[in-house]
Amino acid sequence: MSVIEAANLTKTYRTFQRRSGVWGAVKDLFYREYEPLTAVDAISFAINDGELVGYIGPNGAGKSTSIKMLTGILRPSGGTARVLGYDPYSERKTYTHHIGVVFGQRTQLWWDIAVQESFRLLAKIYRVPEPLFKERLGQLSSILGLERLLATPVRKLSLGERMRCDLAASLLHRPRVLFLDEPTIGLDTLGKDAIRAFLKQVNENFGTTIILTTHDLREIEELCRRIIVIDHGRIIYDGALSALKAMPGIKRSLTVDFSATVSPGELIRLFDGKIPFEQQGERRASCEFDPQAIIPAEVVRTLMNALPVADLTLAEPSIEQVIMKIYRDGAQ
Amino acid sequence: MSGRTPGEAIFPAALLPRIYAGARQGIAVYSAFLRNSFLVMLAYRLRYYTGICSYLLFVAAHYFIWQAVFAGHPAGARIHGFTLAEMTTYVSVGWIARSLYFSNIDYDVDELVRSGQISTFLIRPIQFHAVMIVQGAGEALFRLLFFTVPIGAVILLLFPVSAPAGTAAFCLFCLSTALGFLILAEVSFLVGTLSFRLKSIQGIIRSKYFLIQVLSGLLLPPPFFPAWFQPVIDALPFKHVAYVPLQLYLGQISTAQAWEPLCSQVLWAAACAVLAEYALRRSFAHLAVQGG
Repeated sequence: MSVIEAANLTKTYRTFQRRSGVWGAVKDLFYREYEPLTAVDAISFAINDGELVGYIGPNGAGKSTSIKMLTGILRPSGGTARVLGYDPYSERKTYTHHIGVVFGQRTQLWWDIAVQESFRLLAKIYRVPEPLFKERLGQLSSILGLERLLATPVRKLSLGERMRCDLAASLLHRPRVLFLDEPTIGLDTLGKDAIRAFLKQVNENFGTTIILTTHDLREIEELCRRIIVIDHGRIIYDGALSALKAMPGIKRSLTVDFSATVSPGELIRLFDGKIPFEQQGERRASCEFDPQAIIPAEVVRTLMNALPVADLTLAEPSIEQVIMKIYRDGAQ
Repeated sequence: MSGRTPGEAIFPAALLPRIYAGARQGIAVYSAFLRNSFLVMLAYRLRYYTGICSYLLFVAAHYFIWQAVFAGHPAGARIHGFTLAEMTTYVSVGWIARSLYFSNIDYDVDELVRSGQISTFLIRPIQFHAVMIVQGAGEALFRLLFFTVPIGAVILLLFPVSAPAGTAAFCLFCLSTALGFLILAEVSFLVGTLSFRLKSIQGIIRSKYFLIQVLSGLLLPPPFFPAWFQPVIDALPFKHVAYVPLQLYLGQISTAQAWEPLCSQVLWAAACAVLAEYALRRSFAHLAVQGG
């Protein structure tokens, strides 16, 4: 059952090109040249009920723009978005009853008043009855540790505290879908961990469907089984995170320590020049190789048989490396 | 899977309790916004105490200007229908009322659009237009208590201000000022919606500020303007913000005739609200949220 559906969703902005020089500026006063800029280019995907999906891409890839179309803030220039059966933009007033949205870069709480005043106002907006509101607030406060923050104005909170309050605020009405746009931006490790654990709990306990954009790939690795990668406004990958790592062209890295001095020539000759070993001091060498071209176990065996190996580390491809690779491939 | 309940046939009789419940919910939500903006203003009370002094200066300046204007005339003389006592009252009560009806809605909308913070309003099941007007009303309520009342008290002590034309006239003046607030709030909101299209509307906000001081009759009552300019003032809503309430206060419009300007105030407020809502809907389509 899909709760979120995007079909050829497109957003084109009109950007104004400034002409250079004084004469250009004068011309700009009377006649402006606009150029269309496609931020999101015909993306399509479907997300099922209860999924926790990572939505990633480099800066300016179109992540936030797509989130803003899915949440009803921006009107799509083309294609359709349907969330929970609603058209987010035209049915915004009813639709927003059923979703929660958190923007890491800005708070949705009222800056100058106590956190609990914001919560109370939100309960009114979403028509959460008083007893239910109290129950949920108690629950959320104890999981997120908000008890001593409730009477504080938002402007006096630290970034981590504010983020936890923002998360609680987005869940008071028990939304079925939660959109998170960089929820851990700028947080320290401890703060990130707390939020990650919380999101996992929300997803598992309430079955809330969550879409999460982030630059923190460790977060993706811990939380999401599925990722959608977007770049230059197009989806360049949509699928399981585990499948990504087995993609061709993703390299393994190997570091070997020897118990005696080994010359660089010796290493290169050993693999007929197929593996570009790099010497790091007299007794250490490292390399990267494609596991689909040469079987890792074969490399290890050959090394052990031929040379005095003292220690050996074969590293899994890092998620950063994998993502960098698909960004590069996607750009071509 | 659909999140909406299947459309059910609604009978007219069953509609009434729904409308009632909807209205109650609406009032609960928007009165909560009113309360919140009141709380926000409380957080910045100090700013307001400094403002009181500037209002006193304005009134004092105008008081002395009118003293000078009337100096060459015999006592009790009228200029364009005003005696010195009436003019003093006009200026003083005018500024006291201004402290109530003035609002920063245009500035607030501009700020929300430029910072992108407007998205936090759009992700909620609320009407942006109504929220902004209600927040303006919350501010006005705050100013009534912490600004209008103390300023009024000081001005009444310092300057020879006449009492209103009667109790009924005073009540009508209050009602008319409230309607004036609504007209100005809608105009401000309309100006604020320009910020969706334009990079900066600071200049427009500033021009509006001075234009309204002139066209509302706050600086100078409309009869003082040349005859050819009268139709301009009559064709615009701004005289309904300051001049009309003051006429009611001074008794220049009798309570028996008051229904007419009050009706035009209501019509102007409604017209401005419709125009502002139309402008907002057009603007939303052009929204490009900055940052994030």
